[in-house]
Amino acid sequence: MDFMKEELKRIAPSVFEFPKKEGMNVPVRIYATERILSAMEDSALNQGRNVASLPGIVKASIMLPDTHYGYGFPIGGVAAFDLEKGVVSPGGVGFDVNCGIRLLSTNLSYEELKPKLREVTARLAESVPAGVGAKSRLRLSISELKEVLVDGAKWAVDNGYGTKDDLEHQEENGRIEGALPEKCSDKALKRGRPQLGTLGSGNHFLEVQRVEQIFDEETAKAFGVKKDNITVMIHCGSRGFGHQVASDYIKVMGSAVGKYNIPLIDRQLACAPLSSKEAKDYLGAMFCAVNYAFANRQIISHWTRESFAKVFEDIEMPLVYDVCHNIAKFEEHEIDGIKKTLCVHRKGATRAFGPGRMEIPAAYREVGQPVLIPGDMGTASYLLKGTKKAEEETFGSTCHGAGRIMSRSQAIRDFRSSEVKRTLEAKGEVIFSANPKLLAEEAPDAYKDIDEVIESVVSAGLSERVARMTPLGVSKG
Amino acid sequence: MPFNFLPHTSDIKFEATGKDLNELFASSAEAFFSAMVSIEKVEPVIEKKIELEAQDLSQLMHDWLEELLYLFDAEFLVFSNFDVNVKGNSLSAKVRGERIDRARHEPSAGVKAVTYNELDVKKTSHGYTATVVLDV
Repeated sequence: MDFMKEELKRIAPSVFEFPKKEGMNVPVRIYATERILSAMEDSALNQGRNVASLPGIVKASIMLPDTHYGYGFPIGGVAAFDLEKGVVSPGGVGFDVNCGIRLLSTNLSYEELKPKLREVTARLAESVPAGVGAKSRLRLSISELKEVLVDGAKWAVDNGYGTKDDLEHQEENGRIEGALPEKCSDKALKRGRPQLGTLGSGNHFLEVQRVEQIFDEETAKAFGVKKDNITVMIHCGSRGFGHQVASDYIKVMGSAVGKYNIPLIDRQLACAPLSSKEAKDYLGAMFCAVNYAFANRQIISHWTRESFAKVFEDIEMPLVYDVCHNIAKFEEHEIDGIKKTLCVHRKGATRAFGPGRMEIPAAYREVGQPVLIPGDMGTASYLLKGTKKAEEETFGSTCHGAGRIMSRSQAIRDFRSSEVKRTLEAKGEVIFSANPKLLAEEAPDAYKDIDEVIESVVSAGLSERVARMTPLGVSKG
Repeated sequence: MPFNFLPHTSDIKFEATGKDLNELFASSAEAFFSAMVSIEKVEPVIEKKIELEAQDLSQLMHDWLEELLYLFDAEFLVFSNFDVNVKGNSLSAKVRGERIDRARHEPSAGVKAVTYNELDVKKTSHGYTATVVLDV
C-alpha cells in the first residue's frame, strides 16, 4: 500500500489531507509547508496511512512537519483513540518514553555570561554525566527506584533536587498518576537504576542559550523570559528504563494482537484494546517510565543550577516549563461538540494546549501552555505557546523539533566531527561532547530547517511564536 | 567483515552473515557492539554465560541482542568474543569482554533497543544472513 502524494488535498494553509480509503478508519492529515511536504519520505507517509487503519482511531492520523520514519508509527505524529473501541500501542509512544524538554530561564544577561561561557559549560559537562556508559552520581536501591517511578519529579524535589515551585511548572506537575512499578520487568529496573541523573547520548543535550528574539512581549513576560538573557534547555528521557519497558511491552502486544483478533497492516503497530489487561499493564509500566524521565530532568536541573551558582553570584534559575514528546495519556477533547476522554498518543509531538485549559499552570492559564522546541545545535530553539486551534485540529499537539533528514551513516560519510566542531566554535559556540565522534551524526545539516518546521505549525495555527533562542554552550553525550 | 552497516534515517541498521547459525549469532553480536564501541579494543577478560529460548529464529536473534544490551546498560559490560551454540530455537553462549572504559573503548552510539523493524534471519547459498535495526 503506497502513499500517493498526488492524492493529497490542501484543506487549509499548511494542512494537507490524504482521504480515507479502503482499509482506513480516518484520513491522514499532514501539517507542513509545501516545501517540507515535498521533501517528506514516502516511507513516513505510508506509516501515517497505516496508523489510520487502527481500530478506534478518532478524527485523523496526524503527521507534523518534523515527521520521519519510525517504529510502526511515524515519528512526529499524533493518534487519539476512543476508550471503548480503541487501542494503546507502544510504537505510538516510542522507545524513549517521555523523552522531553525542559527550559530554565535566568536573570543573567548575555554580556554577563560571555566571559564565563566556557567555564560554566565545562561545569555542566562535569556535573551531569553524559554519553554512552556514563554512570549515575546517585546510588539507589531497587526499592528507592520504585519510589521514583511512582513519584517522578516530586520524588526528586522531596529528596533535595529543586523546589515545590518547580512541580507547578511541568506537564503533569512532573508526576503522572497510575504508575505501577510491579508491571515493570526486573531488566527494566536494573537498566534504569545506574542511569538516573544522566543525560544519555545521541540527540540529547544540555544547552546554554541566549534569548535572541522575542515575538510576543506579553507572553514572554508571563513565561519569565527576557531578550538577551540566558536560558538553559535540557533534552533527555527515561534512559534504559523506558527503553526496556517499551521493548517488554512490544513483545506482549505482539501476542495480544492475535488474542484480540486485531488485524494489522504492519506488525510493528502491535497494540491491545484499551480495556484489556495487556493495555492496563503497559500503561502502568509506561507511566513509571514517564515519571523516571520527569525525575531525571528534575535532578539534572538541580545540578545545572548548582553549576551556575558556582560561577555567578545571585543567580536565579526558575523553571519555565517541562514538556513530554513521547507519551500516551488520557485527555478530554471535544469531538463533534461532545467532550470525550481519549487516549492520545504523541510520538515526537508536543502537547500545545491553548488558554483556559486546567492542565496548564495557573500562572500561564491566560496565555496558553509553553511549548519548547529544540533545534539542532547550530541553529536555534524556540519557545512557543499552544492554541485553541491546536486543540480543535490536533488534540492540542504540535511538532517536537527539527527532525532528521539524513541517516547517521550518511552523516558520518558527509561530515567530519572535527569540522562540525570547528564550524560551531567559529561562531563562538562552546561544545563539550563526551563522545567527539558523535558530532558528525548530530551535524546541523543532518536535520530539517527548524525555522521552516516552526513556520509550518504557526501557519497552521497550532502554535504561536514567543521567543527564539540561539545556542551558546552545549554539553552532549 | 562478517557484518556491515546500512543506511537508515534515524537508527542503526546492520546486516550480519555466518556460514552457520553459530557464526551468524556471533557476528551479529560483533556488529551490535561495534555500533557502540571500538570492539577491537575490548579485552576478553570477563566471561558471562547466556541461555535463551524463543519461538523462532528471529525472536531468538532479538532476545540475544537484547540480553547483550541489558548486560551493557545494567552492568557496564562490553563484549568482543562470542562462543555461540544454536540448537533449534534456543542458544547457549559464552561471551567474553570487560567493563567499559570510556577512554579506551571510544563509545559512540547509545543503543536504546533492538527493534523488530526489518528483523530477519534467513538461509542463503553461503550460510545465513541477519538484518537488524537498533534504535539509538
